[in-house]
Parts: sequence; C-alpha cells; structure tokens
Amino acid sequence: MENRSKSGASDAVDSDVEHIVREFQKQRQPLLSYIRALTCDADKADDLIQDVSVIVLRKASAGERPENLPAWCRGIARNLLLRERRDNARLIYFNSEDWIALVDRAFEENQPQPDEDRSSLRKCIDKLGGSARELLDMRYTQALKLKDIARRMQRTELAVQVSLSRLRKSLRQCIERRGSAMESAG
Amino acid sequence: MSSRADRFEELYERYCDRALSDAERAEFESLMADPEMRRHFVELTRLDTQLADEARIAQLTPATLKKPRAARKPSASPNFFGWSLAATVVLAIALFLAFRSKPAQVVATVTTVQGQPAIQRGSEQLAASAGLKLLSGDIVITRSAELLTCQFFNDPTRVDVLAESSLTFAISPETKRLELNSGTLSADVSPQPANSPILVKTPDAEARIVGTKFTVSVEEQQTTLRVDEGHVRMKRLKDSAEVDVKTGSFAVSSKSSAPLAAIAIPAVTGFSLVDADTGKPLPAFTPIPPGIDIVVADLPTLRLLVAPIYSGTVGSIRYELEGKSIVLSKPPFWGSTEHVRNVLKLDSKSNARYALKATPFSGPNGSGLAGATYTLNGNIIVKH
Repeated sequence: MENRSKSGASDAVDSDVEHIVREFQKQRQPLLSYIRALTCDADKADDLIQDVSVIVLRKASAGERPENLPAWCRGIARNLLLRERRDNARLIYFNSEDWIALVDRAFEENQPQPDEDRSSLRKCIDKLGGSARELLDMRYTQALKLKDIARRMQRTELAVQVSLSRLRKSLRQCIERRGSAMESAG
Repeated sequence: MSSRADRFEELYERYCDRALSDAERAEFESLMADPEMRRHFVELTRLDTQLADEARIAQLTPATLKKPRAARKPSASPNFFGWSLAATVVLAIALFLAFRSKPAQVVATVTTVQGQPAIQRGSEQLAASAGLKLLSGDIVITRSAELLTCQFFNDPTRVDVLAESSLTFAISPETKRLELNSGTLSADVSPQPANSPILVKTPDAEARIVGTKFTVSVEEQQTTLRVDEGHVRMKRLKDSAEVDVKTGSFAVSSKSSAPLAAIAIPAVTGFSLVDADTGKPLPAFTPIPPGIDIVVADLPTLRLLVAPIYSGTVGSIRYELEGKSIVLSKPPFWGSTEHVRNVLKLDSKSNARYALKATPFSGPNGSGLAGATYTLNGNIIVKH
C-alpha cells in the first residue's frame, strides 16, 4: 500500500515535470526571440536555448513549479546570459542593465504567442518572387549583414533595409490574410 | 507606417547587425521608451526568429545533401511506409523484447516537429509532438518533408531527424547508440567523455562521435558522413576499414572495396567568363565580381563560356537555367555559349537581371554529396 502511494506520488511528480516540459516547448520560440533580442546572434541564441532547456528540466525535476512560466524561462535565460557575459562582454549587444530591463519590459508587455503552426509562414514564403527569396536567403540563411547584402546587390544599405522591411510587411499581411481566410472557413 | 516606425525599423536592422553608432544607440534606446515601439520590437524579433528557423530547416532538407526524390503520396494504406516500416517494426519488436524487463530510460525530449513524424514504441505508434519524451528503443520515423528535432536528456546534444528517415535510439547506461536505418540525421553533439562516445550506426558503417557537428545519410546501400565541425572516426563494417573525417570533409562507405577515404566537400566559390574562341578568360570577369553590372557593349565578344571556380572533389556541376537545369560532368565544367547567352540575357533588347546558380556534386551526373549552391546576381546593361 505504502509502495503504491509512493508510486502514485512519483507519477504525479513525473506528470508535473512532463507538463512543464510541454509548456516550455511551447515557449521555445518566444524565448528564442528574447535571447536573440539581447544577443543579436541567431547561432548563440540557438546554443543558449539548449542550456536553458537543460536547466528547466533540472529545476522542474527538483520540484520547482513556476507561476508564470514565460517570465520564469526568461529569468533563467537572463541569468545564463549574465553569467556567460563575465567571460564574453560582447555577448549582450547593449551591455547595460537599463537595456536588459527595457527588453524585459517589452517582452513582458507583449508576450509573443507560441507558434505551433508555421504552415502559413511557409506558404507565404513559397509565394515570394525570386528577388525577395534571394534577399531572404542572404539575410537569414547566409546570415549576411546589411552592408554585405548591399555590396552583393550593388545597392545602398538603406535600400536593402527598406526592401527587408517591405518583405517582412508583406509576409505579415500574407499570414494575416491566411489566418482570416481560415477563420472564415472554420 | 509612420516615419517614426520607419526610423525604428532602420535602427533595428542595424541593431541586429551590431552596427549602431553611439548616437544611433541613444536614439534607439529613446525610441524604445515608447510602448508602441516596444511592441514593434517584439514583433520584429519574433518574425526574424521564425525566418531564421525556417532558413535552418530549409538548409537541413536533404536537397543540400542528396538528390531530391519525388515526394511520396500520403496514404492510409498498410503499405504506407513500405518495406522500411516493416523492417523497423521487426526491429522495434526486437528492441521491445530486449527492454521489456525494466522500465525504458528517457533519453531525449522532442523539441520541434514539422509535419507528423511518428514514434514506434514497441507495438505502439505515437504521433510525435514537442515535449514528448523519447525512450530508449524508440524509433523515430519521418516521411517526405517532415522533420523532428530532439534534445538529449541532461545533455545539450541536439539531433535532427530529416525527411524519409528511420532512427532508433538504442541508449543504455553503458552505450549511446543511434541506429540510422534509412534517411538522414544531422546532429550537434556536445563534448562527450572520451570513453563514452555517441555511436551512430548504419547498415554498413559506424561513426564514433565525441563532440562535433555532422550529418549522416543512408541511401542506395551506402552511408555518407559529412563533418561540418570537429572530427569523426568512421568505420566500414564489412572490412573494419577506418578513416578520420575532419571539418569540411566527407566520406562514403559502400559495398565496394574502394579505399575508405575522407574527401573535401565540393564547393563553387565564383564564376569567370571565358572567350569561347580563344579559351582565354576575360581579365575583368575573372572572377565575375559579385553583383556587378555587365555592360554588353563593353564585352569584347558575345561568344562566351562561363567557367566555375571550384574546390574540393567535384564530379559534376548543376547549373540552374531559368527554371531548368543542366548538369556537366566533364572538367572544367564550362557552361556553353548558348547557356551564357541565355542565362546572362546577352541578347536582351533592354536591361535585365541575371542570376547564375551552380551546385557542385562529388560524383558524376549530379550524384554523391552536394555542396552548397553558389548564386551570383547582377544587371545586364544594354546600351543603344
């Protein structure tokens, strides 16, 4: 009987941990955005999110139960960044407490929604013309800086920035249109 | 969009490049005091993150590693996964029997899925979703255009199971073995203890990983190992031949008795224009400077060949030609005069954009390992 109740308690803990891990996975994209917003480095953000997930698992297994999971995850990421900053002062681009607080505030006020379904974004990317796809490829696949894209395209940095801005706007509008169409269909 | 938002976005872009001056930084920080700009900031970083993620997934698709295959039509018929599923089911049952005496160990957590990958667990088939714990003995099965990414339990090692793959996690306290039965896996392995490497086993080869970025694919009875960072020791099972594959190299283990060797990944790094009659390169276009405008009237001749500048082991090069492609398997892989006229639009009556694209392959006729596609864009200027 005692064994059974112990096993019951252990199952409950497992289920709690599993719940936190599932919820954390839903927060992965927003958290990645947060780390990117501070580091301006997609690769570094990708590395750090792995470390954050290990800490989340460890803390959840040790019995921590956050009330506000997104804020809790951001806190873990922020502490990790601040710790790593001791060895790498350039890790956070604007290395000041004021800036970190400002970014925190931005994410607190505008919690990005988890994006479980990115099919709309993919469909909208598929619809892009050749030059827009090339720009996307240079900026996001090859991770080129504006000045390098400008040199390759024989354009000014400002012209490239404007094109990127238009591209993002058209993607946002396309995603919204698809969302509305699906809502009407549903 | 207001000019204030335009300015914010301009600064944001330079912020992402870590290229703001002190004055711009102060301006950016002051704009962030506005709640509307903070909302915009979060929205921009979110879309950027999604786009970077999509780019990563697109980069990992097998197209960069192997020839594209026709997508299989999804169907509910029992033969959906064909023979490979039958094989994996048999393997799953064997693993289930092997592991049934004790509770299976949690080995990894699914972090991302694209499409609907399946997990074969014993006789049960589960739909994979983010957060699902993978147990030792689980088989991940992906179909066309599907992807599953997972992270090892208590270890930052990340594994991507790409489309049309079957991967078994055979992990116990004594061994860490990933069995790739078919398809492709790409992994970023965190440093492992030297006496406890991760083993990637395929039907004909085995790789010992102690911490590196690599991709393994099994196709047409051969295993290809590509190493992007670090080094991996590969062993061919039939004769125990071994080779160290280092950064920027790959090796192929097949049924043939050819020596097992590491080969530099094929790469195209630029193009030159060559006079078709003399065979001599045009100095101003050797190489063609990226993004340059080509003024037709300034060209000494329109009878030109395009010559790729390449490195590594190149067996063939595929050129993209206005939606069609041609593959050249004979060095020096020069594109024909007609090809150049068409691609560069030298016969155009008005100014036009050109795009030269080439993908190198290690084998002839677009076979073997594909290097990255090199693209060159610019304008053709026609003077009257």
